[in-house]
Amino acid sequence: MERPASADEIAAGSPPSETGPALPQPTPTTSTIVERIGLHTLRRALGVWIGLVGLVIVVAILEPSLIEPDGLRLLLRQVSIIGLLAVGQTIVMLTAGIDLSVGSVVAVVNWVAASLLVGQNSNNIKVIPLCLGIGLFVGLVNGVGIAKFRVPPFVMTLGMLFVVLAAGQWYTNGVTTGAASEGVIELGQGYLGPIPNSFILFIGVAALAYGLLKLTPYGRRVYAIGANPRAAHLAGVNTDRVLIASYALCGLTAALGGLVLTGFIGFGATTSGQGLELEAIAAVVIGGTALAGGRGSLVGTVGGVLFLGLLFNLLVVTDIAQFGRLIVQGVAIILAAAIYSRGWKGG
Amino acid sequence: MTRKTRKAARYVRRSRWKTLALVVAVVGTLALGLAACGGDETAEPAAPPAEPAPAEPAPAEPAPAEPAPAGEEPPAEGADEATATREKVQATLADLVAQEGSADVKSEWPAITESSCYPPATKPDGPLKVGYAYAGRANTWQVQNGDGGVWFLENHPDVGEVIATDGEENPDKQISDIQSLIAQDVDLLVVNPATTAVSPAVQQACDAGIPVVVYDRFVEPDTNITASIYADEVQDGYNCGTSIVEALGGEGNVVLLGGIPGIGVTEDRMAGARQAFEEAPGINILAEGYSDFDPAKGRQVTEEWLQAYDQIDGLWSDSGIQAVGAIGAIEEAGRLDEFKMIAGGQFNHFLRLWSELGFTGCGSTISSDVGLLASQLGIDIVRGRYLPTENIPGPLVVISQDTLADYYRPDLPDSYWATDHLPDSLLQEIYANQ
Repeated sequence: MERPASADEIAAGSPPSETGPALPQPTPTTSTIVERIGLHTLRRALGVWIGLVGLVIVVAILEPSLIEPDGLRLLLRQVSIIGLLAVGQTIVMLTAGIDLSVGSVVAVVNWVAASLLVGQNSNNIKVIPLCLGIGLFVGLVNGVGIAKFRVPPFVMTLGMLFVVLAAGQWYTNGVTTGAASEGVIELGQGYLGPIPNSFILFIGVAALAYGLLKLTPYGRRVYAIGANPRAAHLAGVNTDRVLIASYALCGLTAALGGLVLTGFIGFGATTSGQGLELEAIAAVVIGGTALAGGRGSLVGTVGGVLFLGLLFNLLVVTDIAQFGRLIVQGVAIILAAAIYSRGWKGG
Repeated sequence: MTRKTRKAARYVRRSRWKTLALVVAVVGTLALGLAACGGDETAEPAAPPAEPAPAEPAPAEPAPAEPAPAGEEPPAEGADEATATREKVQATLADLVAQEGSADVKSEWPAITESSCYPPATKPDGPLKVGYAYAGRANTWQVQNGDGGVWFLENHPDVGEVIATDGEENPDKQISDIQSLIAQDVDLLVVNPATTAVSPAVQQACDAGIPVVVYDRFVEPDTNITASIYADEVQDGYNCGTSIVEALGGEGNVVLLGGIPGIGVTEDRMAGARQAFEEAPGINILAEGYSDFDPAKGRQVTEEWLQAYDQIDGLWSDSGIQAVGAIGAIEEAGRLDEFKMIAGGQFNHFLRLWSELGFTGCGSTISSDVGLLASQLGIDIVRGRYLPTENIPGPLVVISQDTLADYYRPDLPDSYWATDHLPDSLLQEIYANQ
């Protein structure tokens, strides 16, 4: 079990509140420093990385070409889109929430970006902020609906899945056009040395989010709300503000994912983004973040994203029929959840 | 709101270069509460509307008394175009009717049996009131099909009034659309069902004695209808499969990249392609995969195939959409020359790559103008000219190396679907602003 957040940690950095008791700050010891930067939670994330090593060994035996340098480059580039979505999804799931609208955000960003970039780098400066704004806006709407109007996250974001998609279809009127600019294509397809640009972006965003979750008061509140929202509230945490910020961040990472996808395929496609929310959620679950919130980390999520990506690639080049592939993927997710909730007591 | 202003609103939605007066009229219309329908082109995409666009506003006269929407074209030319299109549609339909019943009957096709709408009541004279219920506007194939059918009916001399409805890919919406068409006592219902859940409404129309022509997507097999146009998707997959076998000289490695696993369209086409490859003993199917008709997934799967297999001679895919992603992967790997044939569909983007990159291709799909054929079939039935006893096979078009130039349209966007029958003025209208 994850250590329950104590009231002083929850309130640390927050303004003195009338309801929360003013507790003395603990003196830093080695163990609190470890806890502060979140190393203790890494034990939980270890599970997926052990699984990943096991999968790599299986791949090395069955289809070694997939983990040769060229294969790895492709893998890292492919997982970046889901990876970006999974970063935001992790934050939201830590608050005991879920965001089903991210696939629709990817689709709409893809359509808007392609139609407005029309292959011109000079449009980047306008279109990229606009696309990020779309993600942020959708996230804010999700957050406000969930925090202020008390709509359950599943219902709120499921509704937004349809609303956002319909808004995008209204915008395109069913006709997707345009093309990604060279800069966006470079982001989605290019490499810096041997490392795909999109993977650098994914890891950079994941690292930023990791820092945000582990080193800032905001991050501690995210964990606190997920573990026990009522306790967090009583400890003086402005839960509404934390929830809204979390969904906004999730929308933002989804928009980044949409931009990377636009660069990866180079144009706007009506079928883009469909089902990506579920793939991202699966990666987060495999990475050890509890759907019930409060437990998990981005280190696990990155492992989960790589695990699912490599598993998918292995299955694509094996002789297993499609239904068998889906069963293997589904069983992997269920197994991961079962191991985390029963056997794996790390963290 | 009058019929005329609704019509104006629709024209403005479709093209950007309307007169200021019309724009003002539309803004007024929007203020009256049809914001989502108006599709104001200047709207900020950053502020998505809270609701999907409502139904296609409907009633329209057959031959518009006012000038045609494409202002630069004199009406006479538009009439010529309509006549020419109708003649082409009639010729194609005659070909298809001649093949009536040729396709193996599929269990999902509704059987045509005696019912309240079969044989249907005919109406030999007078203008017809036609209900055209299309499935939605989720992609350009559907848009071309929906708008194409409406245009065709509006310009048809036998038709007095067209009531078109947009199902918005939502069976509940389409059920109420069809019930409203029944209430308006249409002489003919042409319907592309959003899903089989629309079947009860189709049955109601038939029970009301309205001739019903169903096309492209399915209703429940026990639903009573008057006629149907369904493509033999197995044949569709087989067509480019055999082209690949020929291009490879009967020997080599192929991969199959399908759309959505488990749905009839993809599985039937893959079965057809598999059949073609299995008939050629020298052909080895290296792998089969699925893309969900998503170019990103198509690319990902192909990247892995290229990584795992040293020699791939042919790629078959059941649509041009994922083929575009696959070609991106092949091109990046520098292995385009290795492929003796790449098969996709009629997606203009695929045709552009085929044309520009110079590989050998094959394109096979059910044509996106099947709504026009279904409309003409329905009119022929109501006029008593013809009554099919079995399913009419859908128009399967195969684009080969020789006919590529006839189908590829560099002047239209990548999202256009090559078609035989849609008139140019309509295509320009659909793809205006792009």
